[in-house]
Amino acid sequence: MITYLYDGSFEGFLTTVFEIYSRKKFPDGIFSTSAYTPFLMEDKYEVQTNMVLAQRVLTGIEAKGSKDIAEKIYNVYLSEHPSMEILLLNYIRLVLEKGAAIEYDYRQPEVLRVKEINKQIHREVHRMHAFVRFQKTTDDLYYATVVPDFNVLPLIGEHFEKRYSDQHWMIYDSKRNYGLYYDQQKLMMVEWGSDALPQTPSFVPEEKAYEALWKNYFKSVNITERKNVKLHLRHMPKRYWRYLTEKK
Amino acid sequence: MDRINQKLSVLANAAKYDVSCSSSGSKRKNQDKGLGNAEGMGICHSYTEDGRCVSLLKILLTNHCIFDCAYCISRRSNDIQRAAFTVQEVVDLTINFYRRNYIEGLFLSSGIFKNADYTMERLVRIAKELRQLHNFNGYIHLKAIPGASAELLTEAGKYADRLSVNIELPSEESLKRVAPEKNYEEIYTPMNFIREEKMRYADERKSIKSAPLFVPAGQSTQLIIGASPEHDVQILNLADTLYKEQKLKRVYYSGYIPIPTDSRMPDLALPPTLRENRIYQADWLLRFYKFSVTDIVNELHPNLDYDIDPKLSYALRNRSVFPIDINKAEYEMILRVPGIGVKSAQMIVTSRRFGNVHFDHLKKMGIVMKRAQYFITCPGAPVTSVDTHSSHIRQLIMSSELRKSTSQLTLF
Repeated sequence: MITYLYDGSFEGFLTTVFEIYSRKKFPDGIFSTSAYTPFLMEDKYEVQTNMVLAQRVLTGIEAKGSKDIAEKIYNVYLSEHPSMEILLLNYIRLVLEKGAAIEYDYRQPEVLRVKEINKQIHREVHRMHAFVRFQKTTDDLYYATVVPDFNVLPLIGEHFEKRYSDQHWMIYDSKRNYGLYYDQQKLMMVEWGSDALPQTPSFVPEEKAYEALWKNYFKSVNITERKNVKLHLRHMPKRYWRYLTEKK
Repeated sequence: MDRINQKLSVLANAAKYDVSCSSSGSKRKNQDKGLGNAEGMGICHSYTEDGRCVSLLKILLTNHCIFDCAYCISRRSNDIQRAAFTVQEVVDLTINFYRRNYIEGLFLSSGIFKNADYTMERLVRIAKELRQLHNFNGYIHLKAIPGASAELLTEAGKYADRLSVNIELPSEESLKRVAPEKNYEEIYTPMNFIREEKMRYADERKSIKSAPLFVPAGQSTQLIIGASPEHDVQILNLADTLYKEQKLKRVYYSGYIPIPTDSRMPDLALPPTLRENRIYQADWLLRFYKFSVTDIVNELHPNLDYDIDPKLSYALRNRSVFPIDINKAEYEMILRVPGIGVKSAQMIVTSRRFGNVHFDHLKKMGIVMKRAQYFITCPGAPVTSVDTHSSHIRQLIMSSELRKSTSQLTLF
């Protein structure tokens, strides 16, 4: 049994793809070191992440495939699905063999699966666009905590940057322990504890008042004669409530 | 804040019967590092317990009204609490809700106080202040008040992403019965004016890129369902005309919610949500599935079949068209198969270029085979399905869905 181990980064995964092709040994498993439990009988290979090789693989995918395909691959990587590495390897093989058009042959199980996962990712991105709730801190920072199902923070920065270009804001993923921070100049990835960040945010006095107004609004627009809790829950599953001001 | 909270309760409650919630289809970019944008897809930021989307801060400027329309909770003869926001209060609420990512923007309507121009002028002033004083580029939907002057409507169109005039009752006869001060001409006048202006500005933009936007997300309207005797065929024909001739972006349908104590209105126990849902499904068939109104309802079938969705209903009435060959049929025909949506139809069409699409492929693509199997042929399909009698198919599909859920309503 052949196993490849990488550091869990996207570049690490792409380097792994390069190694697999150059060694011509297709694996039974690809694992990030953090998600790995050793087996007894295995031919284990530890990959050293190499930015140059990773870029070569990416360029190859974009050339034989397309930018769109490369984007889909990145999204699947962000899904953190347990067997996404092998799925992506098979998908990349298919693309390198058959070219860009294969992206639309949904009879191929890998093509269909990549599409399905992309759909899940897009839905989660959309939910983050919708369900982020900022609170204004005394440092004039609009701050929000989220716990997305998938690692979608890298995909949502652009939307918030365009929209809130005249305010400081931060969206922190408390499960993955990093955040997006925008200082009206540029967008940054930050980790809790860096100097630029408040340790425990304290909010401006009017924050409570606006939250109360929003809760009141939310209650007032409901039409009780049309109550439909099932539909309500389908659109707003309970696991998102913890960061929704109006459902707290 | 207490006073604002109280006003907000009254004026949000009074605005909720306008079902429009869309914040999509505009083209407004964030300018000069200002606040907000309204590009492309709208976002539903929340959902109320009735399952409806909350995208905009939807409020009335005031619920004082000189009119007495029986269907409206704010009619002057109704004994309710009245309130009015100031311009500054609406601006503050909008900006502060927007900055916290609660909303996509503002949907501002109003009862008519004094006269049409006086009311419209206030609505325009709020939009203007948001755009010019606060560089707010989020979504703004304003009501176009029937009877307002052309100058005010033109100004409104420059600040708003969408304007709407509600027709409310689906025939003029019904409208006059419940809203004696209104008529269709007064409603269509601003609608026509905005359509013409929008076309003029669009032409201008073709040659001068910097020409201002004018109602970039277009117009919409609302029809109340179940408060008057019109059949579905009249309602859908009206909607079809509004889409084709008035170039409306959306027609919203609102199942009549019984507002007590006006003898001019029917006394319904519950809002007709099932009928409303079927009409929305039919509306979808018109806009995205290339159906015509007569495919869905006609003289022979003036009302939709509320037990099954209108696409299945069409398919069962037109068995001669089916079964279609998944690997050969035109895209338009694939769209007509119950259980196949727009996205699945596209997946079928792109996939079959590479080789035959089999029954198993369709299943995996997410097509609802419980519905589709009776109307298609493809390799691997069970042969007996397409010979099943229509009434039997209807029964099979209805009973399988009844088992799944009785209250869950979806679009296809």
